[in-house]
Amino acid sequence: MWSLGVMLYNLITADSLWARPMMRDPVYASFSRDPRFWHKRVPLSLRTMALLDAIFVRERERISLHHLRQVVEQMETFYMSPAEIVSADRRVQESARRHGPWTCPPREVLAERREVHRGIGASGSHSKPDRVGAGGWRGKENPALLGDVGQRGTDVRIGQSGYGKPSSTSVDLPHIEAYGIYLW
Amino acid sequence: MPSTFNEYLKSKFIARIFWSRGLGLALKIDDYISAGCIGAVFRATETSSRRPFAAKVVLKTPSWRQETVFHDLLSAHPNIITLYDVIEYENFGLLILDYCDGLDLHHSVHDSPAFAGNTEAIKHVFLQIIDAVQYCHENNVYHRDLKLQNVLYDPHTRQVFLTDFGVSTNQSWSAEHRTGTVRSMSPGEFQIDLPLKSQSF
Repeated sequence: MWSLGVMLYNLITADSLWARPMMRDPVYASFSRDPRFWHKRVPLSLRTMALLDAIFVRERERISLHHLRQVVEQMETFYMSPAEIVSADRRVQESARRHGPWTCPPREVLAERREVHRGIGASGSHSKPDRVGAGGWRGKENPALLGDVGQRGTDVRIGQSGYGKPSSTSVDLPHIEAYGIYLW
Repeated sequence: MPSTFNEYLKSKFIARIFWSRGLGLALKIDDYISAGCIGAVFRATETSSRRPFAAKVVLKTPSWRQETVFHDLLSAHPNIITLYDVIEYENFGLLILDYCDGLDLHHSVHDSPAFAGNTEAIKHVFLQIIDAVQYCHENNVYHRDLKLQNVLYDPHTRQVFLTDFGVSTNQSWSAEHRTGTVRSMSPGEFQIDLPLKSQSF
């Protein structure tokens, strides 16, 4: 199972993951410490990240082969949409640009959007706590694997936790919906 | 050392003709394809019809029979490369396999733009891999060295073939650690002190 996950990651990103799964390996160490590892690294869709997280856990909690098949079958895209890339972490944007074939918006657009984000930063789009929902959501109980979590997250949670509504054009801030999952 | 060993294998095997009793065919080894961890893979052409096969040379380690048994057991699956015959010699064994006109998936992914960014293609390929692995597990064979380098991809038919059962096992729990490739290994296989048995696939 684990090696299937590594294979999936290699297939999706045409890139290798950690060299060895030990804490001595810096990539693996940051993966196991940081619940938002994928968000900072690769422009993958939320469900893909959730899937990878359901694979790279202890054996007991690992997703079954059968379930993995279902999730992959239902996967609409492995990648972030251009709009999501615009509002993603800077390292993710760099990675998207480096890998080219993913539809990454040109650099100027990204820079421009970043300015826009700073403008509304006060309403909280960048002040998300890093570790909301740390632990507990990795593994097969991860609600993100069960389907339309994104929408539910937006409707209910964002309002409740006081991040304010996404600004007038919700296309500009798709990651607000994305963060819905972590406010679960 | 490995390169010279492969040179040695090349010089020994290329242009030799082998008789496969199982197939009833004479095969001439005419090209070198790749090197595995033990042994090498050559392209063998059937002498009269020119049909290509792959011939894998394996050294006769104590467990070399196991690979052929498992591979034979699984050959029926469309996503596992077919094993036609095993020819045994004094010092080595020759596995006659289906020839796949393509690269391994690792090189396909890195060389061609067909994969990165193409969800549909990745899904197509990955589901086939899952099928193959599932079939292995249903038959109680655990590959233990799953990686893109061990999956062949035929770009014409878009079909995927799992290969190299060299370190596979039929024990779902194994006390033997550190088989296969470190890069795609689960951390459970490193914890030698805590659980004595670790699931090694």
